[in-house]
Amino acid sequence: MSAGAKDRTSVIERSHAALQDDFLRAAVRFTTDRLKDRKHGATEELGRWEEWRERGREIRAHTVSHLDYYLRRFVDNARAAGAEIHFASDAQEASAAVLGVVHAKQAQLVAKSKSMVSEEIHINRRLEEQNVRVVETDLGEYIIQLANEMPSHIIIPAIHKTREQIKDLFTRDGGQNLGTDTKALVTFARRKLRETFLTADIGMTGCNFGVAESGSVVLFTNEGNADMVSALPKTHIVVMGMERVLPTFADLEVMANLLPRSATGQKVITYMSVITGPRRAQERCGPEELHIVILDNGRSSQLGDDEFRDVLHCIRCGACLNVCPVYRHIGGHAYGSVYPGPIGAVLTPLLLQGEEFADLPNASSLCGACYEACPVKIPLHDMLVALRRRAAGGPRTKRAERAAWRGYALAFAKPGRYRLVTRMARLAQTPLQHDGYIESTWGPLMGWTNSRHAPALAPESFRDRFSRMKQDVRTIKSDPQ
Amino acid sequence: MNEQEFFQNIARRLGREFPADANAAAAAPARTSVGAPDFWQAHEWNHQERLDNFAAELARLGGSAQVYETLSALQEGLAALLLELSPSLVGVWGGEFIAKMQLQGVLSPCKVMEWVEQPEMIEQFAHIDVGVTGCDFAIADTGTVVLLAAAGQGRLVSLLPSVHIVVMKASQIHTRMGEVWRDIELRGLDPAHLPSTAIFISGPSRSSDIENDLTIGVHGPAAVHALIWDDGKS
Ligand code: SF4
Repeated sequence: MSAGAKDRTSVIERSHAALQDDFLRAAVRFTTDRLKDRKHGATEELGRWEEWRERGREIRAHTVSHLDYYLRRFVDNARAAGAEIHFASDAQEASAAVLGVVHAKQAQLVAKSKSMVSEEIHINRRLEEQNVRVVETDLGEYIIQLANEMPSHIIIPAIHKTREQIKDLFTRDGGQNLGTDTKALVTFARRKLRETFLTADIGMTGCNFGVAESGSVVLFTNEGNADMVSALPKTHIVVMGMERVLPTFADLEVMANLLPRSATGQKVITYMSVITGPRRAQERCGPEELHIVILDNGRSSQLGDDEFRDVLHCIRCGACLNVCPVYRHIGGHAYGSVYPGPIGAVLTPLLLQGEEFADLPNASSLCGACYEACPVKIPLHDMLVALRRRAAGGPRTKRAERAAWRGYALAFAKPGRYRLVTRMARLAQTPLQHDGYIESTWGPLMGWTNSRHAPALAPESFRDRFSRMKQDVRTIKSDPQ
Repeated sequence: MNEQEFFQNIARRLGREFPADANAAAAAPARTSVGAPDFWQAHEWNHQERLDNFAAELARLGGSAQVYETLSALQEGLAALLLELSPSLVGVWGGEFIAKMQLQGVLSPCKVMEWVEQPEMIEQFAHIDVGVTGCDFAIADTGTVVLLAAAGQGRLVSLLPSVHIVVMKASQIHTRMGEVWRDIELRGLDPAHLPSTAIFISGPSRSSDIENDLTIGVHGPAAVHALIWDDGKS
C-alpha cells in the first residue's frame, strides 16, 4: 500500500510534501495539460462527443443496474470457454485466490501488466512475502517499481521521474553505459523485460472490460505488454472488479472510442486484445490455464447506495485527474491511495475505511470540471458533496469544531445575542488584526488564516451604522431644497 | 466467498430478492439502445474511401500502408521491403497463408520459420526480426488490423519481432469496428466458434512513460507495414 497510508498522514500533510517537490509539480502540470489538450483535440475530431458520452453513460448505467444478470452471463460463458472463476469479497480473499494458483503452479516469477485493481489488493506485497518475484512490465510501472514508489497518475504512472533518475534506476537494474536519451532507456527496458516475459511462470493482468455475451476479457495497452503477459506464460491470472462487464461486443465499440480519447487523446488504443478462454488444444501460444478472480471489495455497498452507485460506471480513464485543479496542484501521491484525483477522492473513502482517507473528499474545489471531462458522465462533484455531508454528520469532525458550530447556532438565533457576540469578537480580534485583515498563524481562525488573510470585523457593525444612517437620511429629507 | 452468496449479495444490493434469471435461454434485460450512436451505426464508406482512410490512419499512427493493383506487384513490394530490412530470421504465419498469397518465391532468399503448432515454437520465435502475417479484418476508421487466433496463426508472429508486415486484401477492410463484430458474431458467439484471442493492432507499440517523450517499439514491433492487394471494388 501507499507510503501515505503506512504513516497515517492526512491528505493535507501529504500534499505539503508534494508541494515541496518542484519537479513533481511541473511534471504533473505539463502532463495533465498535454493530456487535456490532446483529449480536447481527439473529441473535437470525432465530433458529436456528447452523443458518444451519453451512449457511454447509458451502457454503464444499464449494465450496473442489471449486474446480477450480466455478471452471471459473463461467468457462465467464460467457464464454457475453459476459464476458471474465483470469487473474492475483499482484498484478502482475492490475494488468497491468486496465491492459491501461484502455489499450485509452484511459480517463482510473475509478470504483471498494469492493473489498478491488483494494486487495490496489494498483490505485489503479498507475493513478495511468499518469495515470489513480481515484475511490472508497463514501462512506467516498471520504473516506479524499481524506485519502490507509488504511481502518481493512473495513465502515466511515472510522470514524476526525470530521465536522469530513470537512467540511474536502470543502471542499478543491470544497464551498462546507458545514456539518458529515451531510445537508449527504452531499448534497455525492452531487452530486460523480454527476458521476464519469456521466463515468467505466471502472467497477471487486470481487465478493462469483460464481455457478458461471450465471456471474453478485454485488455487495452499501448505497449503490447498485456499481450506478452497473456500469450507467453503457461498460466494467466486476471483480476477484475465485478463491475467491469459490458453486455455485448457492440457496446465495446463505444468504450473503444471513449476510453483512449479520454485517457490520452488517442483516437485508438494500439493493442486491444479480446481473450476468450485459455488456448485451444491445438494452439501453441496463449496460456494453458486462465483464472479470473472477480472482486467485490466494497463495490456491492456502492451498488446499493443510490448516491454512489454511479461511481461503478467508471472506466478508469484518468480524464477527471487531468482537469482537476487540486490534482494538478498536489499530484497523485498526496491522495495516498491507488486511485488519485476526483475519482480517488470519491472511491477511496468508499473502499477503504480509515482516518487517513476520510478527509479526501475535501481535496476538491467542487468546480465540476471532473464531471464535464468524464466520458461516462459520473457526477463526481455531487458525490464529493454527499461524502462531505456524511462526514460532517459523523464522528469525524473534531469536538472543537462541533462546539464551534453549536456556538454559532446559539449566537445567530437571537438578535440580541448576535449583537453581543459580535461586539465581543471585535474586541477579541484586536491583537490579531493588521490593516483591516487578520493574518495570524495562531488563534481560533488559524485553519484559514495560516495561509490566507481573513478580513477583520469592521470597527462598526452594519446594524449600528444602519440605525445611524436612518437618522441621517431623515435629516437630509427634512432639509428644504 | 462462495459464488451463490456473491450473486445473492449483488441481487440484494440491487433491491431484488434473488439474482435475475440469467440462463442462456432467459431474455436479456430490456434496453432502449445497444452499441454506438445510431448515426455511427449507419456510417459506411465505399471501397475506395475505406482503402484511402485505412492507409491514412495507419500512417498517422506511425505505420505505413502500400496499395498494389495486382498480387504480383504486392509480391515484388514485399521482396523489396525484405531486401531493405535484410532480416536474419523471418517468422511467418503457417497453415495456408504462404500458399494462398503465393509468397514461397518472395520468401525464399530469407531464412524463414513458419508457425506450426508444436511445443518449442515460443523459444524459436523469440529470435525473429521480422514477422509476416495476414489479417482477418481491418478497420478503415482507425487503421487497425484484426488477427484471430487459429491453427497456424500464432499471435506471437506479430508480437515478438521488431518489424511486423501484414499482407492483406483491400476487401478485408471494414469502415468501423462494429462491422467486424457483426462478422465475428455471424460465426456464433459461443466459445466453440470464437477464437481464443482476437487482437486489434493499430500501428506500432508505443509509450510516453519517459518524460512524456513518445517512443515506439517498447514491447511489440517498432514498425508496422501493411501491404494491400486491391482485390477489386466491392
Ligand atoms: S470518473 Fe470518469 S473521468 Fe474519472 S477516471 Fe472514471 S471514467 Fe474517467
